[in-house]
Amino acid sequence: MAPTRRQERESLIAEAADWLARLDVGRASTAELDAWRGADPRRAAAFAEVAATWNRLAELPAPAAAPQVKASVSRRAFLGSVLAASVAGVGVLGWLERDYFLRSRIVTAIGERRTLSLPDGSSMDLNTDTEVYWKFDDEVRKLWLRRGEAALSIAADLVRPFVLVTAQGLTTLAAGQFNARLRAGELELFVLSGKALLKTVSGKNNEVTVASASDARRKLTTDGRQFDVAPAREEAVQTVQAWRRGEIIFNGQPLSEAVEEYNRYLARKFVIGDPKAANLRLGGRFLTGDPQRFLGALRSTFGIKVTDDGSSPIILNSP
Amino acid sequence: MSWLREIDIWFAESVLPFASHYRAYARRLTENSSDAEDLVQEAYAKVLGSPDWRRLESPERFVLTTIRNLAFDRFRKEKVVGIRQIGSLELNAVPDPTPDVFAQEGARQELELVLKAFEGLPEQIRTVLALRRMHGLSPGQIATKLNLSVSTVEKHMAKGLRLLTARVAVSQSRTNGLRQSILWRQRAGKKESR
Repeated sequence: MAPTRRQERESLIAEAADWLARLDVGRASTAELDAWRGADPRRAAAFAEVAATWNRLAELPAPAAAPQVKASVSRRAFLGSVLAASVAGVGVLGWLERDYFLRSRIVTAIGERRTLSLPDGSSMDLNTDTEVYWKFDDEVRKLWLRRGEAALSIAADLVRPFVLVTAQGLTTLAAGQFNARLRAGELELFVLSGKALLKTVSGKNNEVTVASASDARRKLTTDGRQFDVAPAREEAVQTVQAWRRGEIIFNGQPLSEAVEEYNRYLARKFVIGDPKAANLRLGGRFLTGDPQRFLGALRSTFGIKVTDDGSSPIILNSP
Repeated sequence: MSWLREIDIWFAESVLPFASHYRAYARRLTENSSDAEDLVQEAYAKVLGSPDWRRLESPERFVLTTIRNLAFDRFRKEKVVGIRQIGSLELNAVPDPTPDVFAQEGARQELELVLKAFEGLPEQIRTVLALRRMHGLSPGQIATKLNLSVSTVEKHMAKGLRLLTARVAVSQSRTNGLRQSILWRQRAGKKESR
């Protein structure tokens, strides 16, 4: 029995690899893939695994170009020929330096907050449910924000720029204070001090520099195509500073928004039971780690009815 | 990548990063790595076949729990030889894969596994994959450069992906398994309710 299962599994992976290669050279369409994949979740799993391998390969970046690159030869083509030439002798990995690929990764759990010092003297606070990677080398300091929110305090380094990498683009940060948050496909970056240069992944007008004056802090929002720069309102600045103290501040938001914010910190979420409750507006300062006190305030101030059976989400209803 | 649906992207970002944990855990519950791999693949299929995937708050724990339940089911119903006698502790305490102290170590190990597997590939395949993925040459450009047909390039890529995926899976259950099973904290109080 075991060998049969194994063969089955191996042939699934082989089929998935065939599909990916076929798609990559343009011999198959996404619709064809969907038809194959949609028929069996085991196929979907095999394809996802093969695709992960494929992505991993791309994560191993090529090292910096050797010094004598001729201007007429593109870097890629040049590296390609160097690579092809070197393969016979030392092998690809003898040539690509190993450590170059290795990145550090930190993840915070829901409700967790963490402060980290980075090797260059910068530091960052990670908010709840956040994932970052970083890799510092001789040329660049790179920080990938994959999800969540990070407050960054960037140390000056004249030689190595600090680059924040997100799905929306690359943002080079000069020494200063920043708050970066990913929400609904957008990067929201507060420039509290210092300067940020954003290059979005696509879009026509895709570069912008945002500098903060001592009295004018800015908020930059981008979806990867377009961006928006606006002065940061004082309440908004307070809000992004509050989470680092474990606090959450509401300034008249509807309960629906407040609950969405608070839920970021909760494994067992709040759910609003009726639209009337959703529209109640509330203000105040609460602790992210103490939902009971938040609920207590909702009860006493708004007369919100709280239904909590101890295991499913906590339901909030209007009086 | 447009080949991936929303669920696949979610799967790749939330589920697969903990692959070595699943494999090590499955390996701990079973006698041989082939049975262990079966459990992992079945659990993956369960997650990807679940209409509720968006609501999973902790997909990695869900996968671990599924692996445990599948192992137990098999042990009980099919009486598959090879599943270890699972003690009650094992059944109640699913390891907590939340990376903390070992986060960096884990990421490092992970990449080393991929690199090792890559190094072990046949030379021509390695070259094709490196040109395609590390240097961004198109399949057509690679074909011209290496004097191959595009269909050969395609075959090399397919074979390379198959070998890499399989070898990484095997080493995840071996190398990481031993170390991580020692490092796992078993939180008796933190039980999966699903």
